Amino acid sequence: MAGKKIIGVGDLAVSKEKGAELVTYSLGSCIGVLIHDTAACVGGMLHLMLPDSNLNQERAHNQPAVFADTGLPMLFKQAYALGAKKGRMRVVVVGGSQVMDAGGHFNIGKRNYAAVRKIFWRNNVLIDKEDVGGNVNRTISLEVGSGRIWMKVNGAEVKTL
Amino acid sequence: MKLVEEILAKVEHLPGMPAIVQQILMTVSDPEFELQKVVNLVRLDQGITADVLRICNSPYYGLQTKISSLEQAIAYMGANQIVEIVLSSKVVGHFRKGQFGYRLAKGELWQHSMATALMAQKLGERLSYPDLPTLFTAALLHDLGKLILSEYVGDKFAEIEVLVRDHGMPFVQAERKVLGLDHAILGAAVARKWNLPEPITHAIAFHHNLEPARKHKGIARIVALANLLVVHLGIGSGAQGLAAPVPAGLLKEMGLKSRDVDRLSLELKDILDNADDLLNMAR
Repeated sequence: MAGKKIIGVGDLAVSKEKGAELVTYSLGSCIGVLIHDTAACVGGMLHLMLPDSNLNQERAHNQPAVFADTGLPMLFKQAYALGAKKGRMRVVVVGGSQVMDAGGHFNIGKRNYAAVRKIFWRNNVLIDKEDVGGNVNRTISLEVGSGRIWMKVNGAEVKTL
Repeated sequence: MKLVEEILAKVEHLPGMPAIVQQILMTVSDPEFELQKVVNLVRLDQGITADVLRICNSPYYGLQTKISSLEQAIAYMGANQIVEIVLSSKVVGHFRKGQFGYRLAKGELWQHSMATALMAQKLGERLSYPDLPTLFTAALLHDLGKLILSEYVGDKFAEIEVLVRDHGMPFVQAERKVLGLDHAILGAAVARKWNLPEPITHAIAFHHNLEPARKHKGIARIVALANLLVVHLGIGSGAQGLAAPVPAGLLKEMGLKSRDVDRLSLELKDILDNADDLLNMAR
């Protein structure tokens, strides 16, 4: 899987190819979770949409990466299968924006972030870096070989995370 | 010339909308229109049948049978959807450039617009909106103003960005403050120039602010919600990011709750996963 692999909305991928780059575009209220184990040269990216699979169990079965509670375990399991170890992994969380809603009905970004934190807390996973919230959209990329992560905000500035 | 006048003058210089679009919209706005009339109109336009057949056979519509004629397409898909495909193929030409002021590459504004149109169509079906092709067209064209305003937003971006980032102002309001008008109002001016029906011009004008939309509030609401769903997934929102306001009472007026927003987001994912042919028409 060398080269660029685009992760769609509600999808995930892991890789141990040195030349691979995992990219996801347009994280709005969705959250991108990036994991990387330098020693094993394993990287993974999840683009989750919604916090809780109770919304639609059938969907969770067919597309586990859509929900935080089904997508995160799958991301980690697939990375372990390639030789990654939990204690060595760098974990980065990006996204969870909101549209400007005084009524709070569009607070999916906040709920996504809360769900991710809760799941990590229960499983003793520490977040090493995050860029979360606000009213922006974010594009992220992970280079599997180097573990370099960059982020673009609203299609403009590029930051290294 | 004042900036507002200069921008409005550009509306006059935009290429016109093909007459067939108005003719089709006018025909189908009558709930008892004759299908044959639409077929006859469509036939006048060379190349359109090819577009219709290509899109009908795309996975989004999930048809088991391969469609090979206009009549067959209408029989299998229904007139409304054929009309929508025809309208799309007639307006896509306007969207084939990048809107770099909004940091949108070629095809991205179309992708945003088509996703909004397909989402609006689903909402319209659920809410039994009586004129789906008009709704679809309004949603497809809701950001029409960005085709013109892109250049000006690019020039004044630093000022707009300060208002949005540092003062928490919605992007559309910042446009108005800095440029004297915003993409919604400008889009409505273009739609009027193209002689599109009033429900469409109103839905375009008020997709960020429903308050003044008295007469055509139903269509404006659906377009507003469809747009917000697409924006909150970050699809083709470019420089605007998620700095779009949710009109007060929008969901309540439509009888929807927070949980419905989650469900609708899943429906939007299905659109994004399956409607490649439509979403990428302008690439």
